Parts: sequence; structure tokens; C-alpha cells
Amino acid sequence: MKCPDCSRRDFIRLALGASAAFAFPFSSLALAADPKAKAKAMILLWMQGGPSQLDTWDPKPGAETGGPFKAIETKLEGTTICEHLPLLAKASDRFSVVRSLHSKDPNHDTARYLLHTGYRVDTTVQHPHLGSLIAKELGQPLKDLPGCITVGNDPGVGAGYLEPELAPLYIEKVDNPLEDLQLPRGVNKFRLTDREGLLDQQNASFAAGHAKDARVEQHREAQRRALALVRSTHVQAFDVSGEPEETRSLYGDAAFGKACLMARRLVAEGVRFVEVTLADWDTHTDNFNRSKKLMEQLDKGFSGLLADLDQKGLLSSTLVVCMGEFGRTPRINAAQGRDHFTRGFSAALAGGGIAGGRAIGRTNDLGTEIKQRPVSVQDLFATIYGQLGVDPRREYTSQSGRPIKILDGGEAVKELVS
Amino acid sequence: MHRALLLLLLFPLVVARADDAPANPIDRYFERVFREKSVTPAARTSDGDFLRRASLDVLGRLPRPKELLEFEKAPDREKKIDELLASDEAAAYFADCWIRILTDETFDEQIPLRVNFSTWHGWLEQAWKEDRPYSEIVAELIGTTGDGIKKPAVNYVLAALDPKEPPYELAGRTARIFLGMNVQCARCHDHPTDKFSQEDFWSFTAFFAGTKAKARQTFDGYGVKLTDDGTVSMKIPDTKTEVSARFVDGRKPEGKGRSELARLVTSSPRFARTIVNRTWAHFMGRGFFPQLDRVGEKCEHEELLEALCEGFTKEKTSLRALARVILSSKVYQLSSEGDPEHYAAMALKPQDPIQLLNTLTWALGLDVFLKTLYDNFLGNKALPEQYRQEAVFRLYLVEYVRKLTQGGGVRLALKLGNGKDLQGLVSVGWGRLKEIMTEKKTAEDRLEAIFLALLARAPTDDEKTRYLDYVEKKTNKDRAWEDVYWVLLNSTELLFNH
Repeated sequence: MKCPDCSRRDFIRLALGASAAFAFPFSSLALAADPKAKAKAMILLWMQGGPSQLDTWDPKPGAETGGPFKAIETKLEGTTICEHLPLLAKASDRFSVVRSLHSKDPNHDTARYLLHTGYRVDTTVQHPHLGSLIAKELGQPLKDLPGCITVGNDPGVGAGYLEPELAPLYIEKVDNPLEDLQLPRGVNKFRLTDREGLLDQQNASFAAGHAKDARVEQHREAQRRALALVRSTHVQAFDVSGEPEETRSLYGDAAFGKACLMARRLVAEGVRFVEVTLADWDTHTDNFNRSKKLMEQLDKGFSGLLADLDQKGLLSSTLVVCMGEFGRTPRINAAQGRDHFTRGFSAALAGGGIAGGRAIGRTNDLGTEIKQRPVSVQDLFATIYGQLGVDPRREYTSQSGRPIKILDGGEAVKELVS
Repeated sequence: MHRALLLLLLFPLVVARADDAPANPIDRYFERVFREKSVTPAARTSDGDFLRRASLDVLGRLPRPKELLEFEKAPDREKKIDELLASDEAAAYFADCWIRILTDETFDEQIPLRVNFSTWHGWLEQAWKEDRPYSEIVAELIGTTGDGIKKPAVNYVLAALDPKEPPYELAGRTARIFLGMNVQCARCHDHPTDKFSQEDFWSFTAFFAGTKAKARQTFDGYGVKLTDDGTVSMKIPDTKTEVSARFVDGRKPEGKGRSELARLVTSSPRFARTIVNRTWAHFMGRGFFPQLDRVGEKCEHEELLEALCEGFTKEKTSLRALARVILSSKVYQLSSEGDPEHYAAMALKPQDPIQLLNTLTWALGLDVFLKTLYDNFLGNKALPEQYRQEAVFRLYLVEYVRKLTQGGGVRLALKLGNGKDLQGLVSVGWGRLKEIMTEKKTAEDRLEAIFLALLARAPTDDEKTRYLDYVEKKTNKDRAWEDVYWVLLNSTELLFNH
């Protein structure tokens, strides 16, 4: 049963009820991470638009659906990947691929929701971004940095039924991440303190008159968090320019590579979840030229990230997942493009206790059907949560007061775990 | 004071005609509710707060200091309501809001390629200015054929129609927006709890079966033409089931295609309920039904809803008349300080992205900046011609602001409180603050002008003392004034329509 369009909610976001959403986990108040868990943080490399699996992780050279690219040898159990991912091919003992993912949602927005929450869009409940959930479950070691950060693309999914402050903080400009985080010229910390003091008094009287509306305090809280971030000494983690040339060269000069480096810095600082976007995979036209350009960035950024995490001793505790909202059709259309495809697409996983060099699942020779070991989106999420020590069956309370599990269904893919 | 006295004297004469019952059906209803529930409603808003509230709700912007001062001198609320509703700015805000509603708040880069936002926006503005019946507006949106320039109403269908897919999005959107029904889950499966089956969904979609959007051969920038051959039957995709058009209440078509659907939609009893609920939510901060696309058969205030629907139909489905009834009601004019339960106080409304964009444009003197941005946008030859329209540019801006407000508000707080691009504008050398600093010479006058500009009210005595002391103590007065301006710009009060 697919239901991509339950999305179209027309919530009056102003409704008073929805504003007072507080979520309490039922089972326990202790939020210390599971001691058996391998991963303490996650980096999501989000391939916005839906990359073509046949031109990346699941090549079919020679097949009528295969397209012009060749395949190259890897250390992945005798399987190949696209020739335009040479650095990743060399580093393929560090990651594994799943080539049998499937869903039933071919629409960008709703599929993106599914691949960010593990749930289909539902008009009665807003699910949290997986990064918000991970930050909530694992706790945030640093109070002044957000637990969940997204770089380069607004994920369109918020904190859902969790506290609003767990919503992803979205960093718009990779090249200038500190633009809104550094004090503007002429404002030093003393002046900011003056301003904050006055603001607090100003807001207090409005809040006193509107005590019945939780959104008023929520706004003040968001403001306090924003200004705490501005004051934070950890904010330098966003700035990649201080990294030695040697490290920077691992990631390359492209925006995506820089964002990957920023993700590594943030994770090293204690941030639980960072999402980095590589957009423009929606290649209905000119798929091959466009995919090739994108792969250049992906190859450099992803391989650089794995090498650097390894050098810094962070790879074993950082789960890295590379995926998009769906794959693309094996059929090549008249515009040399590929359209949306959900019946067999790929993702890559690394670090955080994930084994390297494995290839899970197979599609048929044309890539039109899954032939072996189908993996659902829920299975993928169960794997992710499992590695982070998050119990996917733990229940929260949704905005409307109904109990809701972190994940509904799904079995972790054991073959991926080292 | 004298005017108030005079009003008090006249008041009994005005209302005495109908057994002392208030003329406004909303007042009649809530008078009884408050009595029955033993609720004491909040105080009436001050004139200034009323003007701020109504200006935001009707014009989509804060009142200007001059407007506030004039209104406080002659606070005739009824007259002001008529004035606001009749203004060109109300028409523009109406069009802004309805483009967002009709495009389902989705704005992606593909849409301007098939939708002509300029003509569409102009058409909606005109509809408001002429006070065209809502039923007529909707009938045109659903039923018209032609191209997006000569027949601007077709842009509704063009926006929702994906040429590669059966018209299910269009069907679902039509049911949601105009009938308050969320039936799209039934596209793929019978819903466990709803009566609406998959076959019902596709039978409804069949009204659009003959609708085609065709790009014209000669590329003139807006070459999409909408046709309808009147077909009212289709196959449910991936099945062998053939369905014929059937309306959501089971009625069969008597005419053809979309024009018949337009007739059925506008004659459905759900039609008035849905728009009354939406309008009520816009002004009151919450609907009779919490979700605009789930309008049921019964709500807590059913009697009032029915009375409003009846009045709406009687007034030839005039949206302006509906707005007027709500704006003139006592509950609309209650203070927001109090408990909003039972409508005994006004609910807070966060400014919507259009309002917030207008607020920031005003508060930060962005007009000049946006003009440059707009000129660059227009002159950007890399953009297809269809994008280079003011209406599209504005949609981009609104979308940008909407994204800022997402995600718990931290981004908005960062942008307003610390954003590099905006902070340079909080300056005695720029925009509104520069104007105030030049025009007003004493500290008290300056403070009052800043309060009027940003919060649409004068400072309280406490606030006066606090800020004047602050400025007094600082050696760098310019910076101190910038601090004051920054504080009010970032205040919670500014962000809400209260």
C-alpha cells in the first residue's frame, strides 16, 4: 500500500493544540547511549534528486539499460562500481553497498520524508528527522551546539513530535558557514550581552501576557539557542579554513567536499548528526553528463571523508550513509535521461561498525527487478538505529497523544555488520 | 473621550431594533456561549492593537506610524474595516495568499515553466477588487480552458497538472482546497477508516480525464494551453477497472468535464463550509476544524458555522462580506491577553511568510535592496524568460522566508539576531532608523517613533524608563539606538499578530 500523497497537509500550524507538543520516551529517562553500540554519531551524505543506481553503485555495462559508462573493479565481493568513482573503488574495503533497496514512493518530497524518517507522510503525525531522533536518544554532549545539523540543503523535515530545539539547524552556505554565526562588525560580546539583557526584559512582558500559548516561550528558547551558538567557542568547528592543506586536499575544493570536511569537524566536536547534501541528481534529461559531474564530487568528498575519519580514529564510531530518495529507471528516455525508480536502488554505508567490502542484494541483469535479498527502507533504518544503539521499538507520544515507535517494522541487515 | 461618550449614547439606538440581540451573528452566538460557560472574555483591544491586527490580516503588513496616529484620533473601526477591505493592498495580499493556497504551498523551479504567475496574480487581485463571488472565482479556476495569459484562471489547473501522470494531484488538490476533503490516500488504497474508496477517488479524478496541457509550438515564453475534450471516464492506473465520473457525494455529471465539476463543487454544501472554515482560521488563528482539509459534518461551534455559511450564501458568496462580519465581531476585537479557549481572548498568530517578508522589508528598509535584487533577477539572461516576472521573484522571496521560519525557529532567530546580511541594515545610517534619527531630535520622540514603526504602539512607562536610561548611560548614542532597534526587531511581540 503506497500513499505518497497523504502528505498534503493543510494543518493550521497555528492551532493551539499542536503547539504544546512535548515528547517523553516511555521506557526510560536515562538517555545514555547503549554501551554495545558501535557508532556515536552519524554523517548522512544525502543525494538529493535520486541518483541513478545503474550509473553509480550497480552498473550494468553492456546491458541495453546500462548506459555508456564502464564498470571498474573494487574490493567489494567481486562486484564493480561505475568507472567515475575511482577513488571510492580503491577505498571500497572501507564501505559496503546495498543494491536492493525498494520503496513505493516515486515523488521527491514524500520519498525524501520517508528516507529521512522511516515513515510515510501521515496527516495525523509529523515524524522527526532521523538526526533529531538520534540527537534526542544519544543526548548532546555540548549544550551550545545543536545535535542535528544539515549543510547545503534544507531537509524539509523538522523535529516532528520531539522538542522543537531538536530540529535540524540548517547551514545554508557551505563556503561561508559562519556568516550568521559570527558577530557582525561593530558588535562585540559585551554589546551582545547588553542587547540580550534588554531583549529578555522586552520578551518577558509579552510572555507574561500570553502565558497560555507555548509558542511564545518556544520562540524565546530558539532565540537563546541561536545566541548561545553565536557565543560558542565550538562554533569554529564550522570553519574548515583552518584545516591543514594536507587534510583539505583529501576532500577537494568542491562545495560538497568542503561540507564533508565540515561534517567531520562537527562530529569530532561532539555533534551527533550531520547531513551533507549533494543536489541535482534529478536527471530526467542528460543523465550521463550530469551524473558524471556529480560523481566527481561524490568520489572525492566521500572517499576523502572515509580516509580522514580513519586517520583521526573516528571511523569506527561514525556511521556514514550515502543515499537519495530513490533511484532512476533502467530505461533511458528520449532526452538521455532516467526517471524516478523505486523497485531496486542503492545506498552505501561505512564506519560505525559497518563491515567494509560487502555488497548486499542484487538486481537482475537489466536492473528492472530485485533478484536477491530485498532491503526495505525500514530495514535500512533499523540497521542505522542498531549501529547507534537506538532501540527502534522505543515509544514516544505523537502530537495528538498517540504512542508512536521510533520505527515501525524493519529488521537490521545483519550482513552489513562487522 | 467625547466621541466615546457619544457612541455610548447612540449605541442603544443602533442595536435596539432586534430585541437587544446583537446584529452580528458571531456576537449573538458568543454572547450566549460566554454566558453558558460562565466565561469572562478578555478586554476589547486598544485601537492601535486593533489596527495592527486588522492591517496584518487584511493587508498583510504592519500599520504605518502615520496610519496609527490618524486612526487613534478618529477610531471608527467599522469605517476602517471597509477602508482596509477596499484597498489595493488588500487585493495584493489576497492574491499572494491564494497563489500559495492554490499551488499547495509548493514552489519548485518547474512551476514557472507552465504557470504564468503574473497574469494569475493580476486576475486574483482583480477578483478581490471587484468583490467577485467566490463561487464564480472557483468555477473559473476549475472549469476554464485556454492559455495562461488570456485565461489566467487556467493557471490553477496548470500548476497541479503533471503531464507525465494521471491527473490525481489535481483531483486531490481540488477536493482539499475547495471541499475540505483529504481523499488522496484513496488514490492507492481503500482507507481503513474513511468511507472514501479507491474507486471513489478515481471516479472523482475522471472529471479531469479529458484535460490536457499542451505546450505551443512557437515558444513565446508562456506557451501552455489547457484544453478539455469533456471526457469523464478513465481507467484506474495499473488495473482493468474503468470508472465514470462521480462527484464526492455520489452525484453523476449532467454536463461534461471540468465545467460540470465546477458546477458540482460550487453547489456542494461542503463548498461554503470549507471556505468559511478557512476564512475563520485566517482571522481567528484556528479553524472550526483544526485541519483545513478535514472539514467534517459537525464541529463544536456548528451553529455558528452554519449561520456564517448561510450568510455567506445569502451575500452571493462574497469573501469581503464574510471577512467584514468576522472583522467587526466582538471576538475578533478582543485582546490577546487572556485564555483563548472558547474564543474568550484572541489567539496569537505567527506572521505568515508573506506578512513577515513585508514586515522585514519595512523594518529594515529592504525596498531599495530588493529593487536591486529584482533588477538583477530580471536582467539575468541565464534564467528562462518565464521566471523573469515580479510575481515569480516575490514567490522566491516568500519561499525563502518560509524556510527561515521552519525548524524550530533557530534559523530565523539567527538571521534576525545575527545574520551578517541583515545586521548591517540595523544602523542609524540606513532605512527606517536613519529616517527616525533625522526627523526626531529628542530621545523620547525617537523612542516613540521606533516603537510605532516596529511594534505599532507607543512605549509603556516602564519601557520608556528602561530604554531612555540605557541610551542615556551609553557614550556612543548611535550604537545605543541601534541596540534598541535590534531589540524590538527581535522581540517576540513583533513576530506575532496579537
